[in-house]
Amino acid sequence: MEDFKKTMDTIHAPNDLLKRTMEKMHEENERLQKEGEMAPVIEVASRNDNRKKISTRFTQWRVQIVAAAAALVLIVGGATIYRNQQTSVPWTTPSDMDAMASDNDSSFELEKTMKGKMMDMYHNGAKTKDIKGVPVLLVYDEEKDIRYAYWETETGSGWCESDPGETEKDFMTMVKNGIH
Amino acid sequence: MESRYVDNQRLDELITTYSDMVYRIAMMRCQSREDAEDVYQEVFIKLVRYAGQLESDEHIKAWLIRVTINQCNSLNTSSWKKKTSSFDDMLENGQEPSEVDEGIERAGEGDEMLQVVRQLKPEYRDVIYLFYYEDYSIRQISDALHETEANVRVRLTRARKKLKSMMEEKGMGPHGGF
Repeated sequence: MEDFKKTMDTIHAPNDLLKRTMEKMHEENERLQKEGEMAPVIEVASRNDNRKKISTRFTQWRVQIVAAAAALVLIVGGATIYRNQQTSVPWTTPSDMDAMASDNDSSFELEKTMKGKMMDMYHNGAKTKDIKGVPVLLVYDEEKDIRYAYWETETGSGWCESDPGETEKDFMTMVKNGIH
Repeated sequence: MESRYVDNQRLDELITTYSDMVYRIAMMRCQSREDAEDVYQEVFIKLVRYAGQLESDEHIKAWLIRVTINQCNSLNTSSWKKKTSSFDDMLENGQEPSEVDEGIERAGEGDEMLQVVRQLKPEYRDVIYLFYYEDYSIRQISDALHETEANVRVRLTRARKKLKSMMEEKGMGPHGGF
């Protein structure tokens, strides 16, 4: 490597290049110093510009965020409404129809049972309080009804005040005979 | 507060001290003398801007080495340079070294040695130059090139091997001690 060193020792920057570079360095140095004197004014101006940029950027961000949120709400709301429309069909689903049918059947059966019991009571004179499965309000109290009808006939009040028809007279007679 | 600027006298001292070093690195790295001169000027003009921030002479020296290498790399990878003929191409075309490099004085076998070194990869040239000519340690080279010490050591070993084999091919003696 001694040869390498010797060779490198012989390499020198040309003098004219050195002088030219020196001149350019001086020019650059003067230019930088002039810029440095103007730096405070430029710095303040650039700082204001930066503030404007930051505030503008912040405003833009806010607008974008609000717009995105609004769009999101609209999309979610629209999707929910659409889904509800697709899934909810009132009065028409098979399950609803079945439920309604079963309800109707049960109420029909109940009504039928009540009618049958009441007819039995009317014809057979059975005690209504012994009947099970029939609502109390609907129980026909035969004795009370007969007593009330007799009292109306005796006093001439109520619907028997006017001249009663044949059917009603028969009914009164039957009631009197039944009680006494 | 420390001034960011240095006076012209200080700049003259710096360029006088490190002029040859920068020029040599540029000559080792660039493909022509014109490129080397361009790099030389660019590096010292940059130094004007940064001299006030560099603390010591050693720091300035390491900075100059680093910036010179970077400047050569950017010049060599520019599209303009890819279209122009390279220094090595000119050598391969049979042109005399004196036509290629007027800055290098012919010094017998040493000139041949320089040509061999120039045929190494650029990263090998850097470590060879810094280690053998500037007498930099591995640590100093790693600081100057911003590489790890292990990487510098590997590069140096490979550069030595490559240089040795090239010298044997050219029939040059192994004197100099690799």
